[in-house]
Order: sequence, then structure tokens, then C-alpha cells
Amino acid sequence: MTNWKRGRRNFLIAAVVLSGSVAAGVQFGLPYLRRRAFDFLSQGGPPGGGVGENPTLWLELTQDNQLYLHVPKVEMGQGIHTALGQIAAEELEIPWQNVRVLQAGTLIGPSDNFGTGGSASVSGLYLPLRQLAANYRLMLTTAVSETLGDSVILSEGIFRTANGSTMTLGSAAALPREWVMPKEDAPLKPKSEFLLIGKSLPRVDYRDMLTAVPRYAYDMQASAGPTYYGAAARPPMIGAVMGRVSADTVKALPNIVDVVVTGDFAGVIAKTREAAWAAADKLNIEWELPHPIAQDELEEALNPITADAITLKKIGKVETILSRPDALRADYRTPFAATAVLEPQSSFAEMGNDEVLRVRAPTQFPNTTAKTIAKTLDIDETQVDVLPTYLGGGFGRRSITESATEAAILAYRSGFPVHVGWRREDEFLQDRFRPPTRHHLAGRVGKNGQIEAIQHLQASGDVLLANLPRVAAAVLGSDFGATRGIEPPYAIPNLELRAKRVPLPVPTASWRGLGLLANTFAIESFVDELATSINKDPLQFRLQHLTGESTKRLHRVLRHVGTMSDWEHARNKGTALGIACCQDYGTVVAQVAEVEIDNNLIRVRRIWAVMDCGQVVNPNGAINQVEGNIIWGTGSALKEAITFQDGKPVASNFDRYPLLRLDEAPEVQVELLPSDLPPQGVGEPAIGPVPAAIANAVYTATGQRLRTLPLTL
Amino acid sequence: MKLTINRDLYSVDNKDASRKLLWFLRDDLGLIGTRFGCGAGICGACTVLVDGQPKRSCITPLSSVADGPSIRTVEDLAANGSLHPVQQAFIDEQTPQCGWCMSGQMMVAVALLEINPTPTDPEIEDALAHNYCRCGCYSRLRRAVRRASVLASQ
Repeated sequence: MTNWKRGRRNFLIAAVVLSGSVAAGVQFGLPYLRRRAFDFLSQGGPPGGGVGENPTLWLELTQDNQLYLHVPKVEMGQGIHTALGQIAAEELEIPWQNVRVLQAGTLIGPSDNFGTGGSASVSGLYLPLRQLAANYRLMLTTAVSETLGDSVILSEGIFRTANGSTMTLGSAAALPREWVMPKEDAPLKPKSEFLLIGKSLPRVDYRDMLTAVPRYAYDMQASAGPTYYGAAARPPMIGAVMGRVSADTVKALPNIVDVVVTGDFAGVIAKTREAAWAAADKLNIEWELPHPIAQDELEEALNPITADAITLKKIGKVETILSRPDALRADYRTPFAATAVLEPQSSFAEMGNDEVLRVRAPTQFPNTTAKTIAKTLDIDETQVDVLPTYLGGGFGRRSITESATEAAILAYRSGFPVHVGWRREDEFLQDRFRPPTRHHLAGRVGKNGQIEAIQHLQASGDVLLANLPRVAAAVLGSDFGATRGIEPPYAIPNLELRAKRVPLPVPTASWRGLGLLANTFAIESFVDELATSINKDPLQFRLQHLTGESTKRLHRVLRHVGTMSDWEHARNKGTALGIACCQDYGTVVAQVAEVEIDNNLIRVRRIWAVMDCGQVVNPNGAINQVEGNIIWGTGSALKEAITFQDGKPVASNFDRYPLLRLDEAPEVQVELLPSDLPPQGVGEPAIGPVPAAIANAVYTATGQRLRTLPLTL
Repeated sequence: MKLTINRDLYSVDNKDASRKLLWFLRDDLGLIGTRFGCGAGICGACTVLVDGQPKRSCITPLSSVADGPSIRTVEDLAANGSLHPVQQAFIDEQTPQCGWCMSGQMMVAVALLEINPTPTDPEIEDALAHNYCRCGCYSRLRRAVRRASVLASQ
């Protein structure tokens, strides 16, 4: 038995809290071994590695010299399990092929009350995780040195003395001794000695993904015996309130096992998935219907020119300057958009013999999901273990995972292991949409060709405030998710930013990048309008407003993307370039779009992107993220819009909400610039400039300034 | 009726004739590599091969593929622990992000390369144009199929 001092765990907590990336530390003292989590995660398969003791919550070294890295962050395509593995293995000096990354659940292992999102996983954990691994390396080095009676050098996972004695990291971790935390943090490896950080290693999970290993929530089944299938009744329109439920006719249907009605939930359990869906649709429910949402009322509510907006920033004499008749004014709009994750949400819940309800769920916020389940069922939080699966896309939609609660209710009430899978129609009806926005921009360029003043009045549906208590929302006033990216990066002596929070009768929430896409579309289109109003090249115009020290990095990516896209070189008739940029989460990114107008249709042929996101842990993974953001942005620019009729979205499937297809997708070229900064955000920033770059190119090609998404000629 | 799936024969009760192939594969046989995306034959995540042709299993009734046709799913690609060239190419090009659409993408690529081992770029574009990738891995998908064509010929 390895004897770990309490101090070790205290250290872990300190490391996590100091990083600022995790709000409240590690859960411990719960009588579960981490190994059991792994067993459950791997569906009862044999655990890789030995049965060795697990000395830490994050880093587990086994006798066969494998590193199991337990992470609370979820994998939804960002490649963070790979990147975090690289970070830990770098400081532990263990070969990459010896590294395995495991998803931690909410009851066992490292915890994370922040969740996975905001492009913060790698940037937030980079230093704390390195330090944790470095300290562990120092402790192990000390232990081996004392055991072998000589000084040792660690490389490739093996300690060596000068006279040739060796010991593996895994054997060192199993040494029977009192483990004491180092009094001071161990030194971190210098960047020049990095073996793994900065390498485009293939992702740790590709083989599982491509060979049908069950890792997603929709793949989950009972560990033994039959799996039962659940389905919840869906409202006939958004905002409908459930009244009396009569289940008798449904109970008599073939293959129906049970009907559960509790609070505002009604659901069925069946022997087949199809039977569950059909029965849930047949439940006889008296719905109290709200005033049906009408599209024009939603549009009207979003008036940005209003006295009750919150002033975010006010510098100089904006009103005086913009009252002049030659001030430029323009209005921009973005619509509701669906998250449309490709894997419809689903969850699997099963009551264990130990009276713990285990829920396999695709959630970006596992702890919140567990709390919601415990509260709904009125049971203790220690009786719920949420084990996140791989997510078939996240993009913010999975910050709330309704199916987890639905499966939990059905499994807890019935005692059966239950899988609840949503249909695509459920996803559209009960999506938490990207809110619509409207923007009024006013600005003026002075005689010297510099922007004198800009005013940005923005109105948006809620992004993050919808999920906060009303008091908090009232105190905050404006929605910090909706205003993300609202501040132009340029030197503007007179600037006013105002935001109007518009609560809408439609659930709206996080969508990739939150308000970044809408705000950057408005600002970067408007800056283009200012440039062209004085016949100035849009790239040069931007550069001349980025002369300060704090905007050097943005200046550099803009210049670079200009070279990369051959910006100066005129294109053929009908084809044109547009440029846009943004800074977000410490990352700066600039893009040029090449657009071709073909029979009044906008075709985006190519997009070049240059990004500085600090130190890059896995360049190819980061580039994949940038490419993905650009495709998302292109889809938003050209296609995606949700409208409402009769109280619900017009689209119920992809026939009315087509996504961007491969044959419509631009060729994307990405370059990441070397940087001395630590890692910054990667998962979202590059979505910002896309629609503006496209719209600016359309203007150059056609002379038409399109100010509403999706862009149509 | 009988279904031939990955060269194995399965008996199916006639009362299940109208059930969709996707759910029979996933829920009854545990062949979860065939993914569910839309249930309407639009997104392509559920694509399997029926006698070598890509087919949307989410809208395919069991009766329409019973007693004769050979159904092939992603589980049949890797053999004896070695990956199919298409799977290998998808790894080599570091193609997926979330991965949910990839089985469908790979099945389309397998069908294309079996009929046309050296497709041109427009032919690749045409073949993959009907499968969504929400994460936006389209540039990599193009490259992965090009690479698979090379790997398969080696």
C-alpha cells in the first residue's frame, strides 16, 4: 500500500485553483477507486496496465510503465485528450506510445466545475498540468535516487544511474515509501528541450473512432442483460406547459414496459427504440399552449437603437462627431441558428448494485449535469456518477444535456437500464439556438484618413444569462456571452459600445464562439465600409489602425494573410477577395476569402487564415480546429437560419436546415505563426472573421454590400 | 427473412419487415459503427454498402435488403487487426474531429474506390458531396480519399 500524505492531495487542489481554470478543486474522500471508473468506461473490458496503486488523481503510472492520464475535460472533436496527454508526458519524460488518456467521471478522479468550453481547456491547463507532472517527476526521481543509492537521470520513461542500474517510471511509482510533496515547485522543462509539445502527433482516439469502438453516448448499452429504450413526450410548441397526462392507451401498446409521469416529465420505456418513440408521441397530454412565437415579433424585439441598452464603453465625443451629416451608418443582422450537432443527444442510465446511478452522457458540463439529476430525483449527489462519453459534436449545445435527466428519471423510477436517444426532430424542436442579433454601426473617417469615431449599438438574445439566476442577470445587465468580440481592436479615439439584452421566448444559449461571429461580422463589415468610403485598401486601412504595441500580433497576422493570399494581385472578373480579422481569448486571427459570383450565387472558393494562438501543443490539431471554424463560419455566412412559425422552428430536419456540404466548402489554407506566449484559445476564435471576409469579398465582386446573414444576392 | 451482414446470415421475423436497417444494426446486433444523424436519409452518417452501393440505412426497411443482398458495415473494414486503406488514410491525414460522421464518409469512399480506384478530384467531390461533416473536416476528407486511393494501389 502506498502511503500518501494528505499534503499531496492538498497540493493538487492548490495547483488547480491557482491556475484559475477550475473554479473549485478536486473531489476526494469518496470511497471509489478510479480503476472502477475506467472499467465502466471501457464497457467491462480488461483494464490496460497493472493493478498498481493510483497515487494521484491525474497521473497514474502502472508497473508496465504506462501513463494513464485521467482528465475531466471532454473530447468533442477538439483533440484536447491528445494535447493534454502531450503536456503531461512531456514533463514526466515518458514515451508517447506509453500514454493513455482516460475520461474522468464526476465521482472519481479529477473534477472540473468549469466544464469544457470557451476554448479554455488546453490554455487553462497548460501550466498547471505541466507543473503537476514536473513535481511528480521530481518526487519519483528523489525516490529512485534514494532506492538505488546513486543519482539518476530520467529519459524515455526510464531512470538510469551512471553505473548502469535502471528503473522504470512505473516501478518507481510503486516503490513502498512515504511520499512527500516537494517543498518548492520543480523546474519546468525549457521549451528548447520539448520532445512532444509542438509536435503534430496523431490523435489518441482516432483508431477507436474509425473502427467502431463504442465511445459515444448513442453507442451505450447495458453492461449485462437487455437495454431498455426510453423516450420523453415533446411539447407541440416551444413554451408549452405539460398538463394532465393519460397513459392508459400507451401502456397497452406492444413492447411498452412502463410509463413514467413526474413533474413536467412524461416518458415511456419500451423494448425497442422505435416503440419508445412511437409511444411517447401517442401519450395523451393536455398542453397549456403559450402565445405562439411569431417571427416578426422576434425581429421587432431586437431593436438596438434604444435608451435602455447598457453602455459597455464610452470614450471621447462620439455623439458630436457622429451627428455630422457625413457620418456613415449601417445596420447588420444575424438570424437564429441551430447547433445541429451531428450526433443527436442521448444518454444511458443504469442503477448499480452500490446504489449509485451511473449516467453515460454527452455533456460539456458533467458536474452540472450530475447536480441537475440529483436535484430532479431528490437524491444525494454522491449517488449520481456522470461519466461523459465522446461527444459527436459539442459546440456549446451540450452545456445542457436534457437526455441525461430523462434517462436518469426513467432508470431510477423503473430500475431498468435505460437509453434515451433523441431524434433529429427533437433536436430542432428543443435546440438552444444561437440568438439573433441586430447591430447599428455609425462611424466617421477624419481628413487624415483615420477613423475618428465608431458607435456600435447591439441587441442580442441571451447567450449565457438565460442559465444564470435572475438576480445575477439583473446585476450583469448585458450578456457577456452576447457581447464577446464586440470591441473593435483598432485605435479609435472616440468609441461607444452599447448592448441591449433582449430576452426572447425561445431558448437561446451557447453556440460556437458565442457572440463572436455576429459582432465580428458587424464590425469587420463596417470597417470595410469605412475603408471603401474613402477608397482606401481595406488591408492597409486596418493596418494603419493597428500601430500600437498591444495590437502588434494582429498587425502581423494581417500582413501575413495578405502575402499568403496574394492580396495585391487583382482577380478575374466575378471573383474577388475580402479580408477580416479578430482577437479573441488571447488569439489573433486574420482571414482572406476568395469569392466567385456564379449566376447570382455566392461561391466561396478559398479561405486563407493566419493565426497566432501562442504556443501550439499540437499544430495539426490546432489547424484542424481552424479549418472547422472556417467551414462553420462559411455555413453561417451562406446558409444557416432558423425561423419560427406556429410556435416552433420551421425546420424539423436537415431538409429545411441544410448544412454546408463538401462541394460547397472552400479550400482552406491555415498558417499558425510561432509565438512566445503560452497557449491561447484555439477552438473558437477563427469562426469570427469568416462571414465578414466573405461579405467584404462579395462587395468587391459585385458592389453590393450585404449586411444580413445568411448572405444572399 | 434473412439478412446478409458482413457475410454473416441473420434471421429476422417477418413482423419486423418495415423496421429500419439502422436500428437493427445498432440496437439488435450491436453494430454501432453505423451512426444515426437525421433519420431522413439526408446527412449520410448511417451509410452502409448494399451490394457495394452506398445506402442510407436510416430509411431502408429490412424487407428491402432481405434474402440476397450483401450488406457491409464499417465493422467489416478492418481485418485481422489491420486497417482498411481508407481507415489508414483517414488516420494519416488526421481527418476527424468529433468523428461521428466518419463511418458514413468512409463507406462512401470505399464504394467509390472499389468502382473507381483512381478517382479525379471532381469525382471525389461528387461522391462525398452528400455526407455532412458538422465539424468541417472537408479539406481533410478530400485529401484522405486521395491518399486512400494511393494506399489501396500499393
